[in-house]
Amino acid sequence: MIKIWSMKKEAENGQKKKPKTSAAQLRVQKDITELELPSTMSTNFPNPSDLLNFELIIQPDEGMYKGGSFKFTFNISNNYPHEAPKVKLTQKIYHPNLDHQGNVCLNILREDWKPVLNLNALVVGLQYLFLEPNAEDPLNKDAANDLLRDRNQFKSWVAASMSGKPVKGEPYDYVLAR
Amino acid sequence: MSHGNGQAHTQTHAHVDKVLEKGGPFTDEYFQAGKDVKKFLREQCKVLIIGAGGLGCEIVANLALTGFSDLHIIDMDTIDVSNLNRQFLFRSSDVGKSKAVAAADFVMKRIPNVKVTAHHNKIQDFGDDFYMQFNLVVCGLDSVEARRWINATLYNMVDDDNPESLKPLIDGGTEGFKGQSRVILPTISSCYECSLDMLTPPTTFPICTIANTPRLPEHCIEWASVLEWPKVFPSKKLDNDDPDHIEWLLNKSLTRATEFNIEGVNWSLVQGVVKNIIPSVASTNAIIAASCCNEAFKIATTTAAYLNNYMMFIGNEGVFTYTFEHQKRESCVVCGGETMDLEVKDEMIVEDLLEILKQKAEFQVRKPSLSNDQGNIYLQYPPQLEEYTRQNLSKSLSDYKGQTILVTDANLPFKLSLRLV
Amino acid sequence: MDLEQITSAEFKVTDQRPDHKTRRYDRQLRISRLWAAAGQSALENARVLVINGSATSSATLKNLVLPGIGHFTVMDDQLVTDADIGNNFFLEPESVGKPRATETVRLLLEMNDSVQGEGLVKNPYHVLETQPDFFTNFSAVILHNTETDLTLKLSDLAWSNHLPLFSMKTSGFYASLRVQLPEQTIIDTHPDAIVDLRLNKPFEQLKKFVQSTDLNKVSDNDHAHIPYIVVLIKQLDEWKKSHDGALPKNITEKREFKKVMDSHRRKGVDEQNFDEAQSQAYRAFQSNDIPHQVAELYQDDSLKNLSKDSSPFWFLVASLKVFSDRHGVLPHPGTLPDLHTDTQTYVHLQTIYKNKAREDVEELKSILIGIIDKFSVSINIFSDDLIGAFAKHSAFLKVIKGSSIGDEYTSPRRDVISSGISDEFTESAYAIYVAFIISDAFSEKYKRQPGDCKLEDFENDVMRVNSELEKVTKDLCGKEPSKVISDSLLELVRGGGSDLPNTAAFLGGLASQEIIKVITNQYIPIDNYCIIDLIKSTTSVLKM
Repeated sequence: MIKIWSMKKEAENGQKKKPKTSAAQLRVQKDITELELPSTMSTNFPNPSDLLNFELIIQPDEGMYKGGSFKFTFNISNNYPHEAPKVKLTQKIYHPNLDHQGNVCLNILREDWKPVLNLNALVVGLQYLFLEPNAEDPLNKDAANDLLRDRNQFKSWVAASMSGKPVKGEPYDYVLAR
Repeated sequence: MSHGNGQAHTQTHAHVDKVLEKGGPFTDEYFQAGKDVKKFLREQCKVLIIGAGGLGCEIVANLALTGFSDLHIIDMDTIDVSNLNRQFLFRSSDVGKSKAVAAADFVMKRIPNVKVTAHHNKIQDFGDDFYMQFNLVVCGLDSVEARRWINATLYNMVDDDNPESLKPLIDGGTEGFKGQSRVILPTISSCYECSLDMLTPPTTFPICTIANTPRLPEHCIEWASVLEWPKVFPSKKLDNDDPDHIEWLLNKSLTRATEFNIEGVNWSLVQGVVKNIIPSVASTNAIIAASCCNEAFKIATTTAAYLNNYMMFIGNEGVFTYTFEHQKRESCVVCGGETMDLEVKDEMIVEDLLEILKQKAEFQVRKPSLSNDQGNIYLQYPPQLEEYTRQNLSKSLSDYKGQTILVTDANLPFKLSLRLV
Repeated sequence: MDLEQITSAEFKVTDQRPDHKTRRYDRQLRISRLWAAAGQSALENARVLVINGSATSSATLKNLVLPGIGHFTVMDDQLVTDADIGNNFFLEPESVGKPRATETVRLLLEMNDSVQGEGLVKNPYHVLETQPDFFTNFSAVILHNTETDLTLKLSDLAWSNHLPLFSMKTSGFYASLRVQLPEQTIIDTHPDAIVDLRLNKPFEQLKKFVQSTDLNKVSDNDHAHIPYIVVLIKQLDEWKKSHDGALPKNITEKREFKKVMDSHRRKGVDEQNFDEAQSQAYRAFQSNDIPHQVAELYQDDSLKNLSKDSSPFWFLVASLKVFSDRHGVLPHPGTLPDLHTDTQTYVHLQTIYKNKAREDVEELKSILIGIIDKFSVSINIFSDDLIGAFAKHSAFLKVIKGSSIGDEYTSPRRDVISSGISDEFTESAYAIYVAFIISDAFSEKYKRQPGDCKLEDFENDVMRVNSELEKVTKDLCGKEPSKVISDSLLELVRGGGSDLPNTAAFLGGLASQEIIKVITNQYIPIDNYCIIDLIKSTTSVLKM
């Protein structure tokens, strides 16, 4: 150990015992405080001292989902950013890229997640889903087929579903902004 | 066979003594051959082994043979039958027992005068005081999260006033015929977190493919585990170790595979996909563990230069090793960024600290957020958190004296560590 | 509803759970990623012999016993000493004074009930004189720090009996592994991926499939799900028409190719298949001709001298040659990587490739029957699995022509050594090789390893090896000894032929891995000399 200890003596760099903040925690602190949320998005921390669990509310101001208020939960593990956050929608909505259980089809949430990405990238990706629903690779295939078949019809069904009306017999949650 | 003085002692260590009784052409100038180095190795040096699995079993046996006599081993797992093909300290009759305890008992039974203390625990169960007692830490883990934790813990423990607070971390990992070993000298070399971007994140498949266009057997299995399980059992967590759960997944995925004409779903694949099982074999574990223990021996004794700082091993086509110095990353969450002392006056408050930071030209900090090990001190954004932490702005800085505050800001590579004095 | 009900009511399938043996070996059998069932059964039928019950030998055997080798024998006439229990995990204090062979075997066997082992308290020289045939009853012979004359005698015997032999040496932080193989013909080399899309030479069914898709006439949604393979084949077809049948050659042409391909994207549609076509375009620039290393096999003497005694491998290569002469391509492996499309299209395309592979195997088999018929060889030695595996891996076949330790001893590869020692990247490894040779010469003369002496005699040994240094270096490298060589020699002598626990474990791990490759005839073994430097933490492979 002699060599190592002597190296430490030579290489003094002002190192003092440091606080025990986990790498994931600190990375989340950086990600969250550097979020750039447009007016259509906001966050809510049920426990403001816990940065690993929060809600993201998206209220699109254009597109077919305008007027809705969509609440996602973010659940970040202590292995962030090696593992992506777990993101779910808390409401049941009619959308090609979201299923009735709140699962979200967004590549950077799963197969394309990389540690160099951050929460801002995810937030932008989620917002985009409401501006440009993607019918090519759907999660809710029925909704996607409806969109491909007749865009106008689909639009009116989106509007109906957002106000809590059933679409083709399937009930949906009321998600209009209050 | 006593470890005291006398003939028996010298004879038992005849092989290792060859390189302790004299230096060689590649030996560091600090090396002092003979009595003292033997004494340090065999009576004083205390080593912690993290993990008592494929690598851990090899590590504890090698270190004991090398002459280290005070070993501790931590593992929270119990022994499973699939461990027996490579975890050579365990027998069929040990299935179900604590890995750490079984490994420690076996090594003490086999090798006289070595003390192995077992901890059937998670590494997070222990604090700095526990880790401070060791000279070296050798890791044989398969978990990224645990490695990140011990890496950060050892890094944060380093104190310039106490050279012995620097605990070299030697880390090994294997996958099939591939593996790596590395030496991390916290604050001196690159750390585990520096290389996080090099790792492949866990394999996942697009959720829309799983839901609608499965093509591979894996897609059918993920459909069953990711989408169907929570739908059918909303309040029951999937237990990857419960054969009933695996069987349910198997049947579900088989049905789906049949429906889509997809071949290849079977028990082994289901288990492999949901548990993210990595193929593992005794020979690779032996190579990597030997490399790690060899580095521990060289560092403890200074008998030869140690690895600086990364060896990659690939054994499927001939044998290939690539040994190189992995560089520190300035933007590393754990070891990146500057550390500095900041003198503050007693009458100053947190808000003053923000101003001081913004005025320091060398950092270009604009909207600094602050935290310490107690939690957040002041967060600039989003508004809810800003408001929640605003109350701390008027707190006196004397409350934080002697502590280190971590600063993040978009203009910092990652962070700045400030110690208020 | 609880789990039990669901499981039993809906899909009760019984007897799917793996048995005890499968569970024990699960991690090494996993999804054919390691050596799978065929490799496991080869391992279970193997018998190996190890000379010397040293730490390195035990470390090697440990990694053969754990995965389940059939049988092993340790031959050693020495008794266990204090020094032995200090570095060998498979000895215990009570072993001191007992035969090393039986003691190590006893403790090694504790690890796996299904393995058999035997400790022979015999002197290998004596056995060599009285019953040389004994050594030929094994799948592999393994030596550790044996004296040079014994190494030479055993390696000659192994060489003339076509047995693999592994000779290990250790001294301090240095170790070496010499692998002496009879001709090794490997089918399952475990390449990272077997991908053969036939973009450049699509076969009939694939062509038909491609033609059945009209990029311009389908809906947006269908367009976004056309397999990238189809996109590339169509694009390549068009390209060749306007370029006299040539593939895109240089960067400019390749860029142009990709640009034109991208112009077929539908506007406003997220087309992942076109992203894939871009990233996989390089595959379209490759010819589907016979790979260089396969063409080389066709020139091999074993093929020219084909006889009824030839191994099945060479009859298969002969058939492969006929096949590739006939079609200009190798048999199709039948695999299809995952790609962006709908399930039905994927399964359809997969079936097209699989059927092609099946057809090709049938054709290969009928060619084979024609060939072996001329040599009166029975088709029974060629299982369908073997022919199938051969066809699937035909682009990745590997043949290793061994070389004997005896030849290396009598006529060293001076050209290889002198060029290796002059290259700064390989100098250090070759220096250690030369140091081992000088050490061997010393031990032949003094019947012990240099440095294996009392501390006060060490300098004397150093002087003795140094007196050989210049002569040997000049002979092997054609130049004066450099500092790197003399330092390596000094370090080797410092080790004094010791078997450090970590060096033993490292070498034992490496050797067992290579032994498993040879026994299972999977993966590619070292050809043929590996130097391990545990000061620098490197390994280097030399060909001697």
